[in-house]
This record gives sequence, C-alpha cells and structure tokens, in this order.
Amino acid sequence: MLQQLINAIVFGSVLTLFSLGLSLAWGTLDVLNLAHGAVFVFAGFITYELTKDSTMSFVPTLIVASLAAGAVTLALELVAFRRIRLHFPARRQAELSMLVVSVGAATVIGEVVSHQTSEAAFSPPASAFSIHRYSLGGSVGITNIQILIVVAAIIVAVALDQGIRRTRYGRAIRALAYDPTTTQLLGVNVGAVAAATMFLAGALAGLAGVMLAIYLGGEEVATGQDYLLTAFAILIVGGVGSIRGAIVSAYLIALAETAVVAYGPSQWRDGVAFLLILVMLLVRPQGLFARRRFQRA
Amino acid sequence: MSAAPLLEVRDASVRFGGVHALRGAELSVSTGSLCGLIGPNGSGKSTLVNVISRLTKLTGGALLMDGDEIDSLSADRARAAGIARTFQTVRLLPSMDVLANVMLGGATHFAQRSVAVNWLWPPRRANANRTARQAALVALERVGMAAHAHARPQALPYGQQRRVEIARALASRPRLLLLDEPTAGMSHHEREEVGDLLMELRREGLTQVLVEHDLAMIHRVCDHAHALNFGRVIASGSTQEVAADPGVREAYLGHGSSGERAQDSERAQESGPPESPAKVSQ
Amino acid sequence: MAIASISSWYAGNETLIQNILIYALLAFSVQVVLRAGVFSLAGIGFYAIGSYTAALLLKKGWPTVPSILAAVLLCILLGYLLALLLVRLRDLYLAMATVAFDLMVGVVATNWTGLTGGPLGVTGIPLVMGTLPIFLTAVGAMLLLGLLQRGVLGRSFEAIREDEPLALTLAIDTSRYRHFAFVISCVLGCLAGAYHALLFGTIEPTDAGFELIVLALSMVIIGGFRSWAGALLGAILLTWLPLELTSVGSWLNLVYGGLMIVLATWLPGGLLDALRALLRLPARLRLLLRSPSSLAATGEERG
Repeated sequence: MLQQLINAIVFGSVLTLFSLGLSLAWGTLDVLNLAHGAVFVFAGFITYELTKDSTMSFVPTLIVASLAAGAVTLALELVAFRRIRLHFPARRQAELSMLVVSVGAATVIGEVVSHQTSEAAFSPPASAFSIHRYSLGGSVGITNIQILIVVAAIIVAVALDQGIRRTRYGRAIRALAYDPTTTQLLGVNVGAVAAATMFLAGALAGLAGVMLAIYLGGEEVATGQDYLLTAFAILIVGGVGSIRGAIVSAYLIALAETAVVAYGPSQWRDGVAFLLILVMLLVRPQGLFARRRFQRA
Repeated sequence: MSAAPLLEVRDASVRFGGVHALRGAELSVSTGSLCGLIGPNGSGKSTLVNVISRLTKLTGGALLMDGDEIDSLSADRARAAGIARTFQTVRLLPSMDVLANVMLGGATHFAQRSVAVNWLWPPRRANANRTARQAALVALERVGMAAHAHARPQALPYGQQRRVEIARALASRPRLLLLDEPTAGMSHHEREEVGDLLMELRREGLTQVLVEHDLAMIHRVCDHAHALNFGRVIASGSTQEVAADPGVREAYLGHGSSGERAQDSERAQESGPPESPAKVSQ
Repeated sequence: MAIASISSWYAGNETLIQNILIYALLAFSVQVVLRAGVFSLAGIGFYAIGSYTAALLLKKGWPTVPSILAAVLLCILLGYLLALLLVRLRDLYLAMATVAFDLMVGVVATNWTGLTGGPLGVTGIPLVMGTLPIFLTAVGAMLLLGLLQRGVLGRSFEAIREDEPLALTLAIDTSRYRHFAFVISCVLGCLAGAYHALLFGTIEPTDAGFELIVLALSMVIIGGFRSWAGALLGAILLTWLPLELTSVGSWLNLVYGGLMIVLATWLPGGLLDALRALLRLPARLRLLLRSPSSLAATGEERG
C-alpha cells in the first residue's frame, strides 16, 4: 500500500515535469506540441549516447541532455511556429498548422532515434547513475533516483509557479496568453518570449526524459507517445495553461493509474486517461482548477 | 410621423462575467428610418448591435421586432428573418472572389434549409446558385462595385472592401440593416460617398441602424439618434437634440470640456487608426 | 496488346490499388471535417468501429451488403451522438477529444474480449470484398464530396471554417453544418474500416491507433485539405511511395515528417495547391510575354 503510494508520487512527479512544458506551450502560444513526447525520448537517447561508454558523469549528462531537448524545441519554434504565427492570421489555421508541424517533428525525431538505436529499447548503463535503495521497513523502500525525481519536480513546479507570478518574463507570458496582439503593442518582444517559452518547455521534457531513462532503466520511441497521451489528460483535467492545475492533476492521474494497475483491471490503465479526457471535456471543459477563458462558441 | 417601430429594445442588459456591457438600454427604431447610435468607446454600441443581430445573448430585458419577441432567436435565424449586419472590421473571406462573398449573403433562404437536401437535390442546388448570383449582382450594382465582381477582396482598396460588405448584407434584401462603423478608417471623400449610399437606401425604404463615432456623419444622414454611455441610452431624439445634450457632450469631452479636447481628438481622427476618439461637429 | 499490358500491370498492383482506395476513403473522412473547420479525427475511431461491426456480423452469417449497411447505420447513429456530446468543443480541444475517443475505442476493443476477441483481434473473416465495390464507393465518395465543396453550399462550409460568427450572420446554422460534416466523416471512416476488414480478413485492435491517426492526417495535409482531390493525392503518394522507395527504407518516415513540417509552414494548401500553381504558371508566363504591361495595368487599376 505504502509502496504503491510512493510509486504513484514518483510517477506523478515525472508526469508533472513532462506536462508543465506542454501546458505552457498550449496555454500561452496555442501550440499543441505533439513532438513533446519525442523530445522527451530524445533526451533519454542523448543520455544513453553520452553515458554508454561511461565518458560522462550524471550531472553534466542531465544538463547537456536537457539543453539538447530545449534546443530541438527551440529550433521548431524558430523554423516553423514563428513563421506560422506571423503569416497565418486566422487563429484556427495557425493552430492546425502548428499541430501538423509538431506531428511531422515527432515523426522526424522518433525516426532518428529509432534508427540510431536499431528500433530497440535503449538503456543507459548502470554506471551512469548508481542506484541505492533505502528501506523504509518491511518490503517498502525508496531509491535515490526516485527521491531525485520527486525533489526535481517540486523545485521545478515551485520555481515555475512563482516565476510566472512574479517575474517580468512571467508577466509577459500571462499577457501573451490573454491577448497576443495587445501584448505586442505594449512593446513586449513576443518573438523572444515565445522562443524562451518553447525552449523552457523542451528542456523540462528533457529533464523528465533523462530521469525516467535512469529510473526505468530504459526507454523506447513509443514511451514518449504513452506519456503524451497521459499528459493530454493532465492538461484537460488541470485546465490548459494552469500551472497549479497541471501539478495537482498530474499527481491525481498518477494515483488513479497506479490504483487501477494495483487493485483494478490493470489492462484498463490506458482507459483511465482517455475516459478522463472525454468526461472532463464534456462536463467541465475549462478544467477542474483553471480560470482561464475557454474557447467561446 | 408615427410609424410603428420595426425594432424595439427594452431594458436590455448584458453581462460578461463581472463586466456590464449593457445595463437597461432602451431603443426604438421605426420602420423606414435611419437611426444613429453614438457613444464613446466601450459605451456598449457594438454590444447592442451584437444583441440585435443575436450574436450576443441578453442577460435581461427584451428585444422585439414588429412587436414579437425575438430574443430567443439564433443569429442565423435572425438573418433569415431580415436582420442583416456589417462588422466593425472588414470580414470578407479571402479564399473567394467578391461575387462569391456577396453570394453567401444572397443565399440566406437556401442556408436555412436541410443540408442533406441542399447537397443532393440538383434542382435546389442549381436554383440556389442562380438566385444567389442574381441577388449578389444586384447588390454589387447597388453599391457601385459590379465592375469588381471577380476581384479578390484583399486586392481592393479598403473603402471598396467596406462597400462589398454592405452589398453582402443587402443581398438578402433585409428589413433591417445594422452598420457597425461602416466608415471607420475611410478618407473624408469615401465617408461622404458611403453617407450618400445610406441616404439613398433610406429613400428606398430600408430601415437602418448606423453606429458611428463621427457626429457630423450622424448629423448629415440620420433621422434621429441615440447616445450610449456606460451601457445606457443617455439621450435620444433628433440628431440636433442629441448633439446638444449636455450628458452627451460630457461623455464625449469629459468634465470641464472646452474646444481644446475636441480639436485634439479631431486631429487624432484625421491621422489615427479607426478606433480613434470621436470627432464632434462644432 | 495495350489491354493485355494494362491487365498484367493491374494484376501485379491490385493490392496497392485496394490499399490506395481504402486509405483514400479514410483521408476523405479527415478532409471533409477539416475543410469545414471542424478539427475532428474521430474518423479513425469509426474506422475501427466499422471494421469490427461489419466483420462480426459477417461472421455471424449475415450477408455482405446488410453487414456493411448495418455498420454504416451504427456509425451514423454513434457519430451523431458524439457530435452532440462534443458540440461545445472547438479546434484543439475537439482534436484532443476525438483523439481520446479513437484511443478509447482501441482500449475497448482490446479489453472487451467476449465481443472483439481481445488483443488477438478477429481472424478468419470471410473475404467477400472485391476491388470493384471499393472502387465504385471511392468514386461515389469523390463525386459527392465534389458536390459538397462546390457552389454556395461548399462556400458556406468555407465561411464556417474561416469565420464562424460571420457565417452565423449569413443565416448559416453553423452547428447543423458542423454536425453534418462530422457524421459524413464518421461514415467515410466506417466504410474504410469495413472494406479493409472484409478485404484482408483480419482485424487487430491496434490497427486504428495513434499511427493511423498520424498517417491519415499526413495524407490530408501533404495532399491538401481544401479539396477531396488533395486527400486523394496524399493517399496515393503515402501508400505508393513506401513501395517505390524501398531503398530509402526506414528513412522514409523522415521524409514524411520533414515534408509535413515544410508544407504546414510554407504551403498550407498542400501539394495540390503547389500543383495548381505550377499548372497556372505557363499561362501566366505567356500572358506576361505577350503583353508585360497588361498585368501592370490591372494591378494599377486595383491599387
């Protein structure tokens, strides 16, 4: 029971790290980035490449892989999203085009990774990070990587939440989410804010990807897809663009999925997320926690 | 003149969250008249037009046409019932030419019928396309844009795009035409021309509601006017009466008004964007 | 002789042609909603529902045509119900809800073992489908979709896509039109699935998963979403190219992905738009060569 709770909290922390970037991009820039899962796996792949010959220790690897993930997402912003935002004034067309770009990017990144890894699961060597398990009495225990994941998630969540609320960048983000045209007129460099946001989103996915690769001992291209679908549910339950909503619903969904696997019909695990998405969209499309305006008819 | 009112707005209020866009606005437009609607930015003019065209729901009050309540009507039904409108910004579809844009305005009857039958029953399709085209050509002729029927709307100068919008609204032969700042952003000459057009349409018996910043324009073309501020009608009557109303002058010029502010805003009107402050005729 | 060579070519490529036709139906199902500004990918879920319904009825001993008709009727009913359920959703929210629906269908198909055979899927479906009925269905669909995008009716859908409040003030009952496009999409997806099952004889619950969503969307975006012809072009290219470019092998997906990025960013009308521009080019050049001033004159008149 306690062990299940620990597992749920760790899982929820990974989901938090993963979905915060997705929520940020959609909430502020109308980008539903389907390449987010691929970027996440890409960071795991970089970790594998850097550590397989034991050439790099953990902390530099974590930093390099996260920055690489951020750079990939930033490249997407600079090559495609920025142009689309400028040239497609109709919001609906822009949203569709950006979604399609992200599908294409997911394909490209996934293809590169699976080609380099011969389409098999890849695992960083055990030497990349030596895992210790601390016993909490009986069969219950927690490993150092689990602790690291939870701590990282808490730090990132608090920093992002406070950053959005208090910093200049945070104010620009909120203004952009509310009304891009006016924000531009007020003299905010929308291009720079968008670039920073996409970079941050990618780097957060990267952070989650690296730690998950160590935690699970391996990843494959399909891992990103599974997480992406769960993250959809988190966004919808928490409300698009709401940082706190995403955090709370990440842990809620982690708890629900862990419970279904542990005590319920485990093969319905995937169903939990999809069912939540459908039910939430029908009952409360603005999310459980969000106050952000919802698409008006 | 005591023609029965075509349109009546009674105690209309609209709330968006905590913001009151309209609070108890009253309005009456008699058949065949050209009614001006003035007021500073954010006074509720556009909301009122949205309410009459049924794009915005009333949170209180009533809307009557020919004495029948129409506040439960949807926007598409309202158009079919004869309420046509233009928008503050040009909203022509860039993917089709001028004629096709106006044809959409001339096919309102067709648009209300069953989609499946419209799709699969050839006589209905052919008939709709023919009548819509005729209606569109007539409307384009009416606004003097027939020569540009096959131009792309975005290739036309701004003033002509606005005329095409008026044609699209006229193509369904509406009973009531709502014009939301049809001359915004136009040159003085273009404004005069649109004013002439509206007066001609009035002479032909079309009832119109004209939202306008420019009191001079209202004065020139309208029979009577209503002034709005903070979501309420603060003055109504003949255009002279409304222009002379102390409440209206205060709403436009602020407290302790003098010619100075008016001149400032006049300058802004000449060079500024469509949303620039009002110009007051001296 | 010509006939003989055509028929031998046909014999060698029959499976390819069948696949193209089925994917074309699926691509139409995505295109018809995108053109109307309805961002639904529910057609892929109905691909699964259609394939299971037709196959299971057929295995129960139903004749072919009633099995397919029953599948279509079920999809019309379910599609309409889903449209009503999702009536408040637009754009990305709708896309996400319909993707969730598709994947939910997959989860149900995997786990409702009593009905669907669970993870093993359905096998031994009688192979009652030939190329001709699929061909006729696809041609019929093209004709009907052609009608749906022409004239005032076709432009009404465009108006809904580009400016929904404006469409309302043109007396277009936008929710009725949106529902209509949605149900047509469901029927097309259903037909593609049913034909696939009855042609190849097996169904796996993972058939209509995330990959099929991406494939169908790629076809429509690469070909061009504004016309059924674009969807057809996309279906042909993305079914045929993998066979032609076996030397490229696993890098093929890379090409698709790159193509999607490039097209969505620079050419939202897809290859069909590029093709049309290319076809218009000679005429424009000729006009320019004959009287360079004529273009300038019309430009001046407009400006």
